[in-house]
Amino acid sequence: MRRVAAGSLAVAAAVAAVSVTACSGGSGGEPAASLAPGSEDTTLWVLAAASLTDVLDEVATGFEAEHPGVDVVGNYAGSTDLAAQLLEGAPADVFVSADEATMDKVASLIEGAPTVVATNTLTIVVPEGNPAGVTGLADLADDALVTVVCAPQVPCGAATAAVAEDAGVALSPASEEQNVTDVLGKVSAGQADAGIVYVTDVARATGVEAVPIAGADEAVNRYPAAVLSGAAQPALAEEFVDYLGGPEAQALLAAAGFGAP
Amino acid sequence: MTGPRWLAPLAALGGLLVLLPLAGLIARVEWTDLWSLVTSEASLTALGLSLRTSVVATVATLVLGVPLGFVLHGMRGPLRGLLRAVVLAPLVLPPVVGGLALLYAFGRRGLLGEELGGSVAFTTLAVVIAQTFVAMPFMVVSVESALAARSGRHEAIAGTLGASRTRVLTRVTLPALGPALATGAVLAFARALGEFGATLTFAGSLEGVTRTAPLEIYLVRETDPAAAAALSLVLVAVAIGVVALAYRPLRGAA
Amino acid sequence: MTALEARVRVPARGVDATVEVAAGGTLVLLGPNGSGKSTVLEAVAGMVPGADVRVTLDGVDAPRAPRDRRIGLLSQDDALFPTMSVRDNVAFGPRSAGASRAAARAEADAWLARVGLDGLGDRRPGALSGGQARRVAIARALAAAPRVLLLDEPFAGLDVVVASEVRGLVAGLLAGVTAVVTTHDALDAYALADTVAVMDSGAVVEAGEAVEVLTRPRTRFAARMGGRVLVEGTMRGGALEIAAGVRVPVSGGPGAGVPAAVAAHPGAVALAWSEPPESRASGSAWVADAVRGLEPRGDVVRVHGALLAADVPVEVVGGIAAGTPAWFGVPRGLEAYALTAGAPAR
Repeated sequence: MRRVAAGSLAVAAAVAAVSVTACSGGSGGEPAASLAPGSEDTTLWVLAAASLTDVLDEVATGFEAEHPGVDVVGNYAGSTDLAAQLLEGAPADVFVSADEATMDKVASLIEGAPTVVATNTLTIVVPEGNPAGVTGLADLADDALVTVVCAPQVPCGAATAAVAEDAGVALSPASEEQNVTDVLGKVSAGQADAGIVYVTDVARATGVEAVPIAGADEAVNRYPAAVLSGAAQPALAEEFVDYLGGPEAQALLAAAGFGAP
Repeated sequence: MTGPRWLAPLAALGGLLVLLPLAGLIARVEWTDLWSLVTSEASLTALGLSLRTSVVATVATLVLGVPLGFVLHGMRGPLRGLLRAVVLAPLVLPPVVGGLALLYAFGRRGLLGEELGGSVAFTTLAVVIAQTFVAMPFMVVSVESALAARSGRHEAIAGTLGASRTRVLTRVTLPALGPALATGAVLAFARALGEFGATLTFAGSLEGVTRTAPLEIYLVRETDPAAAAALSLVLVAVAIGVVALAYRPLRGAA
Repeated sequence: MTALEARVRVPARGVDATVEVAAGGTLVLLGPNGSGKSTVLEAVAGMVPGADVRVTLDGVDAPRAPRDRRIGLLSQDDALFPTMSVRDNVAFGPRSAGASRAAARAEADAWLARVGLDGLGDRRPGALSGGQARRVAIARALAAAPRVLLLDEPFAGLDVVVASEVRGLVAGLLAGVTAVVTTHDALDAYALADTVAVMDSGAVVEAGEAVEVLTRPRTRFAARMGGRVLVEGTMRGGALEIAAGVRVPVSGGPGAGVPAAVAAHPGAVALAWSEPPESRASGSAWVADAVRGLEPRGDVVRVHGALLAADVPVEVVGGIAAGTPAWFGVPRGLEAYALTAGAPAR
């Protein structure tokens, strides 16, 4: 399993292409197919929501074990960020989004219907020890409490707005951040008394703890996975999406705090 | 001096590297909607906030950066080099590092303590502090190098004419530094206007309070690329105008 | 009226000099470029960092801060403030002393009129000619009502006509003002000085009443700065013995056996070269020497020997080079004066 930074995706793809060419054309006209199985990796490019970062690495390791010679390269970033990259022509095999709205944006680029592979729910996150004594969503309406949430323009913010509306709470955020990481950062730095993020984000973070939101289950965030129509390895991509819905992957996702599809 | 011919292709490449991204941005702008995109409420709010905070930050760099430039100029020995390096560090610091540093100084759990830090957090003041932090080096550099180019003769003569040190400063030195102060202020303003990383890390992002134009662009770049491109175009235009203004050939000696 | 006394030591520049000016008098510091005159002036004005300066005004130690010292300096470069109008430049001193803007400007205009620049108050210094700028600098320095005014080469860099005009102006304006003027030109000393101090290599080599130093110099250096050539010797009867067997009849002078000198104009000294002159034929006393150097001075060339110098027309010097044997003819009948024992000839 390899992981690449968002910006280097195109470069990595180019390098991979070059190395494949070099191997297939190399060693005195010896055909590439005659190489021993497993000696040459097939690379599967996966773009996935940032919240899947660690767990998807583990899932990929399991997938690689079942598929000798396959190298899964994960590229993690905000879902909307990744969607924007795809729309700009970034090459990849699989896309796993943190919400269905973002998957809809790239509907023209996917093969078949997306499969929901995980769900996530929102939670209140507070600095370790909960210094402000936050007990529930209603506390976050208090102006005196410094609350940080995702901006409504991004998926986590849209979900936050939905949960607050369901609960009839008028949030008074001090800041509307671009993504979950920025919310978490401000809470763990103690700059904010409370924030709203996904359950799985709290599980990954340190220096913070969760305060559950009553009724958060009502606003479940679905993670659709899809094979991209431009995939270089469509069959393998299909297998990977299936594997994500399988028992091994689901167990790992559940351990990371994700809900079942 | 024109240099050897082989400089030309390299210069062309260098020019392209700068021009192509600008061309790319301009190509993305939806000209028919440009006006409505730029004058949308969110855009105007962000631009207005950016302008106000940048003006205040520029004034702050004048009030604080000019004295810093004088002190640096007056210092001798290794301490001067060290202090200059520290003062100018924000110029080359990754913005997010600057933001973290500001957080640890002026944040709620920062050096200034809960009371003071808590009153700065997520306010427009935090934006101004972040902008001043990154813009001040421009003023300090401008003032210090302008002072270094002065012989001090006019100041000495002013002293023999009976002027106090304050009068020498306000009537002789500062007017003579005028062009340098203008250049420093224009560059500081541009830097404040473009400030992003430190603001995002330190001040937060709330419409009308802390969400400046660069933060607005960052926020809408995925959900509303057209608005992001339109707003970017405005900042590009301001940047080019400001740099042209700052580096225009000066009349007379600096 | 303020009397000035100053001891200036600037070891870094090899300067160690004492200057004195009587109240209302003008001292001309006469010396070649690099002799330390400007350093002395700037140090007295309080502008030389690291200088060991003791300045007394009317016998009282002057304050350290230039602002309180009130010693004005007219520098060679004028140093007009380029960001202010001419009027505001001149009004700077009065304003610094607390005058209202209107009063200071009125005073500035009065000073501008006095230096002949009526109506130029609104100009920027950059739009002035060299002579005009010098006049503004003079007006600015005097408008600050200094207790002492120091003028550093006030006519340097001006063409002869302008320099003459400014010299006349300064001579008038300095009446009653305690002033020190540096120059390398004897003309300035004659025009302005009450007293003269001759500087060489950072030290004052001769000082005294202007007419005394200029016409009866005790040192060869002072004589040269005053445009004379010092002929030293010992009185023998009515003549000055300048070398063994060489005597020149003089008028006046001390008694026999006393060291004495005459100060001759180089133009009045005759010169013979290559071959010795007919010693009895001409009206001069001839001293054998050798050419040391040639100094072009417009239409004449001053031929320097080891002891004497003579001006000769420029067109005759073709055959003269350093080392050429030369004979200097000292004219008869010059006024002789005793050389003080305390000031050995250099």
